[in-house]
Amino acid sequence: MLGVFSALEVSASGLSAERIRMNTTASNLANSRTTRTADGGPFRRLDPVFEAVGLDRLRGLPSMQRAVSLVRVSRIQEDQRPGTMVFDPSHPDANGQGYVTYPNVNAVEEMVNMITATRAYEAGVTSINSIKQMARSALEIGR
Amino acid sequence: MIDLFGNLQTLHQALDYHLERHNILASNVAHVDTPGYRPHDLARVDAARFEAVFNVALQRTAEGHIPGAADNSQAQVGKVFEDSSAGFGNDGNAVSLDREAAKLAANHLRYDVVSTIVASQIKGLMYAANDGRG
Repeated sequence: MLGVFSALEVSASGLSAERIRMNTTASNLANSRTTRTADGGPFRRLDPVFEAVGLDRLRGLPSMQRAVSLVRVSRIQEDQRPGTMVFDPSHPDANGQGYVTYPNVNAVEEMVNMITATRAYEAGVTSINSIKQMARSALEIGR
Repeated sequence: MIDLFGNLQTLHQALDYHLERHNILASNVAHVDTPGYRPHDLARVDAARFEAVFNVALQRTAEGHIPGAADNSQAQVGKVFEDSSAGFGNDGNAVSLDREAAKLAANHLRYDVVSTIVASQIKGLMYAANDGRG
């Protein structure tokens, strides 16, 4: 049975997914000039991939299970696009021809991702506030 | 005998329906960035059809079947359907955030209206029970 707490759970999973997206965006922006990583080579921008996971509690109600699902980050994916090459022979990470490979981070793209994550987060908060007020007005029935 | 709470049963179903719909809409909002996600919605099964849905669930199709007991948790107050009318994005996601937000707000308002009606009905019964003194 779907209730107040399942709605909160679903909204909260959406909020935490958006927060993870915000974290990867912040990390991409912060590392936009990082040329060394643990795996070697320049930093590659990261993207979280979200997936829908059915609420376990809803087993036995197949149509509802399909309609209401939690958000889960299935993996954090590396962007495989090539980075920008900049000619700078004095840089310690320059290659034989004097070119440095900088990360494939595009500041504009990251800003757009950040704004959409913020808006999606706000929408989730609105939905949580809404269910809280609904619960409160249900409690008012008993007054 | 007059059923004092007969009216409340219908209102109870209406509250259930709006709560369930809120769950589905909250799930749509949460999945605004999930690739390939299709938003769902809940259509109201009206009172007459609600009875029909309930009866079908209890009907036996063969003699060997164990007769089912009335179980309120299995009763459906609405029918789930996919609503991809807002169109798909590049990632196959069909959630429109503003559309879902508007649906959430409207659903919330309707829930408040129904709960206010329930509260005033109960207040009326309370007034009668107290001999009109309160």
